Amino acid sequence: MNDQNDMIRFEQVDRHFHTEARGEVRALRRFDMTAKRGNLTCVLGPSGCGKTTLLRLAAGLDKPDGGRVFLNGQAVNGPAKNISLMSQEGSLLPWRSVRGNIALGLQVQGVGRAARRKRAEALLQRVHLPTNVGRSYPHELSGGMRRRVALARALCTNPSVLLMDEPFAGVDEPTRHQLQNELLNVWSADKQTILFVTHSLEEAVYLADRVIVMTFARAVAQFEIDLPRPRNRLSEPFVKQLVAVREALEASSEYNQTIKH
Amino acid sequence: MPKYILFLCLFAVALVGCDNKQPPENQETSTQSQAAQDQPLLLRVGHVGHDHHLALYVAALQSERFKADYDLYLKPVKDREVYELIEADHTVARLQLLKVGGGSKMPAAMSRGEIDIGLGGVTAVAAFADEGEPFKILCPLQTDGDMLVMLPDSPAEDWASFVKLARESDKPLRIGYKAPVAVAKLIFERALQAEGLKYTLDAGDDDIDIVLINFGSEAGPIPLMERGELDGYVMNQPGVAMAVHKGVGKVIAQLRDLPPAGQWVDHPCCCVTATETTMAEHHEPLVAFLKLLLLSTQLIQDEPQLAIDSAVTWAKNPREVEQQSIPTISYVCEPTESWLAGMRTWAQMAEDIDLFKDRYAEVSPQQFVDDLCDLSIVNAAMKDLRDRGMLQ
Amino acid sequence: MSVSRQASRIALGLVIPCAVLVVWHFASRHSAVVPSVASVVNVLIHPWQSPPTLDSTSLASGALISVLRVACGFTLAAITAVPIGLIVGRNRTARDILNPVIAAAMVISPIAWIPVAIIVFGLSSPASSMYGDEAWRYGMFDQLRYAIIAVIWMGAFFPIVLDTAAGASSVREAHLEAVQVYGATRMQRLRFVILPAAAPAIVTGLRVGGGIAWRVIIAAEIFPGTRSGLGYMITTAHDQAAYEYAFASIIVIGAIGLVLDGLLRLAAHRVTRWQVKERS
Repeated sequence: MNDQNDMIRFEQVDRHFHTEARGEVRALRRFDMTAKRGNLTCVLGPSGCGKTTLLRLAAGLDKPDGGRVFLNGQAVNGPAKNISLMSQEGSLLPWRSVRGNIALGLQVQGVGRAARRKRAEALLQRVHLPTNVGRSYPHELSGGMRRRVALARALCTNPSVLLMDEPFAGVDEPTRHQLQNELLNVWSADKQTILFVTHSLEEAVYLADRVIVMTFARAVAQFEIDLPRPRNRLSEPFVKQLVAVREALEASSEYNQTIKH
Repeated sequence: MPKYILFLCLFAVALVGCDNKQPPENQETSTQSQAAQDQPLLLRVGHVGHDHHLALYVAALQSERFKADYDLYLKPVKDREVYELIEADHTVARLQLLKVGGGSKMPAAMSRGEIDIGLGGVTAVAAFADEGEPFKILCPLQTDGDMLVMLPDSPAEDWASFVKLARESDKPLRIGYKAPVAVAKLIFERALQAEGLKYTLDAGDDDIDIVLINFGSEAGPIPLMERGELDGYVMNQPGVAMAVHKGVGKVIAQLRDLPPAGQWVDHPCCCVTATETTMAEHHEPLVAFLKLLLLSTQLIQDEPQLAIDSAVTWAKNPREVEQQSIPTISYVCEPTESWLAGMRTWAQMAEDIDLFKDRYAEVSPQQFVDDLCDLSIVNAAMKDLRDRGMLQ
Repeated sequence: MSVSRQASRIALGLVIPCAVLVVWHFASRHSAVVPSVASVVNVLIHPWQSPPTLDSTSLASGALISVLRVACGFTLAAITAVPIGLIVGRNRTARDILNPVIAAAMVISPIAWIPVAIIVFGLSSPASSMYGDEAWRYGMFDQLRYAIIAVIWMGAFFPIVLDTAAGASSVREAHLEAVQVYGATRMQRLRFVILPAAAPAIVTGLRVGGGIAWRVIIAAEIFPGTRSGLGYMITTAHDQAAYEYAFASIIVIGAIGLVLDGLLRLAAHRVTRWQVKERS
């Protein structure tokens, strides 16, 4: 079972919550999944299917009720140093400047002010933001710029694993495409292991080496995307791949149920 | 960071303050140990600040004169607050004067161990002693000074015309009082009963001559009089003189003269009180302190102008107020037979209104006076002064 | 803002005070009790003068001691209430234990605690804690009676606790996770997320608490053994029918209250700048 290429591995993971509104909610049910070292793996699924729980477990922010989660072969038992999490839009701290947000991880790790500043400025350039944005506050930026700041923050500690929770949701399509390309640039240079959660089929096929489809707390299908990069969304092979994934998905009654739902 | 440290220090100091409160016996021990270290004994004297306690203020203000005439005087250490009581070049004690407020505030401060000697009204001291506090009245400070004041344009000019007005008036007269158990109110009620006037504390009653209204504080009646919401009030000095000075009232009777005739002469007001512990442990300083008050009272009686000047300086009331107030107060520090009779009369009134619930609930007025008053210290002080020819 | 707009704003702000002055002036002409405007102004322009007709320290030293008392009580309230509010806001057990007590204590007027404070603290002060019988030598330090400070503390404490708890409980999980993922310690979570996120609510609590503290001081200064403070001055002025001092004290109380609120508003603006902009 153990493969040295597996960076993230879920084995029969169960996780359920009790909420006052909905009673017992099962977020993950005997969930199995692996993400290969240096690969970009997308988890595709509708809202509420357990994708965020999956990332929280991988990040060590939560503990499973059953089964085990491994990171680089070690059982996950709390946040690890080589991991970063890029959450949905709202996770930037609104009371901190852009620079303060980017360097947050370094500050938590006790890195000095000068080094933090230097690193933050380098990352601003890397995500194509002007240096003077560093003094701004998140609410003073556009949606696209905020995502870039969040990406820079996630990269700040030089993580070998990047967990991304619908990071580009809620921005217009051209900006979204731009951000996807920037992520791919970063990834192709650093070769982090990326676990990318999205509900966009097209985004998953464009970015991923592998797409895992989740519905109702389970992984129901898995697709290896074997297209060369950069991928052309209008190219025939891309469209064919998209159609193939979609057809395979639609065959899944559970997925159809979810879509209708 | 230093800010936080400062805050923490303040907090720590506050906590230390909580622990600092000790029962009276411990405080005595602490004062004794200080005395042993050549620090003068500290006696804390609670007072009100108005002209009833003039004997203390005259002594404090006439330091040089007392030193020259009696070799017993108060040497100022901190003006109006701390004085050394010196007799024959010997520092008997250091007195800290604390303005604790009138009514029950003085005996309350004494019961909490905050003061050793208290100057204040007999009523509140007796009420605390009734509940078991080990307080003793050492001597009187003054008597009388309670008046009936009416609006300036009232047809009532004296007690007789007041009674006539109350009987004939279409509406009941509205007469204010300071506190439910204030001596002025108790005397006034008995005078109304003696005259057969009907009165009530409830403004809703019909067919009555007088409604009594509680105005609650020293200056309470003045705005009410100006607004015409009271026809008059009964109160002690200097509250009476203040209303006259402000032009909102006129004095029509001293309560000592109200019926039944002669019963209210020398009715008690303020006195000197100490705890039994203070009396037992600091007998000599208390004798010296009472000698000072006796001499000071003598000076007030002999030199009215000096008394008025001292009251104006200390209490900071307008001169016109003190000029009217002081002559109507009987300053007396010796426990005269007349004062003792006044105390018995007061005890009888207190019994009539069920003021006493415990220690004095079942005793006669004479037993009450015998128990509450310990005159041994003032008698010793008087004897010493008389032997030396200082007291008339 | 244009100069003319600013001028008209100031002019409008002066309408009611001017009307009050006129009414007051005419009222005093027909009253022996209402002091004249001139007599009150005379008190105000000689703030260091020992009142010739009142058994009290000067207006300025009274104001100073009142401000010091409020500063001490308020500071104590802030440094006790903020941590407790944070605990209540973040910890369900603490919330279950403390909420009923806070809810009950909240509805009791701070002034009602005056007798309790006198019983517990008596005349003790920082000076008496340190110097015992020699406390009288230490002037203002002795006038900072614990009983007065305790009542101010009671007044300011609960609004600060409640607002802090509300702020702390509304911290977004996503913000906490942003630091947790880097292995932030409990103190780091507090420093980097909970405190700054709750800061606007804390500042609101401090403003409300500060306002109450300043209002309570007036009643709290009737404590025995006190001969200073604006509250003492008002009570004594009433007792001695020296109403010009009562009026002057009221004006000074209002003026200091305005300055105090302005300072807290300024502090609030600094801390909540991001929040205001975020909303707009």
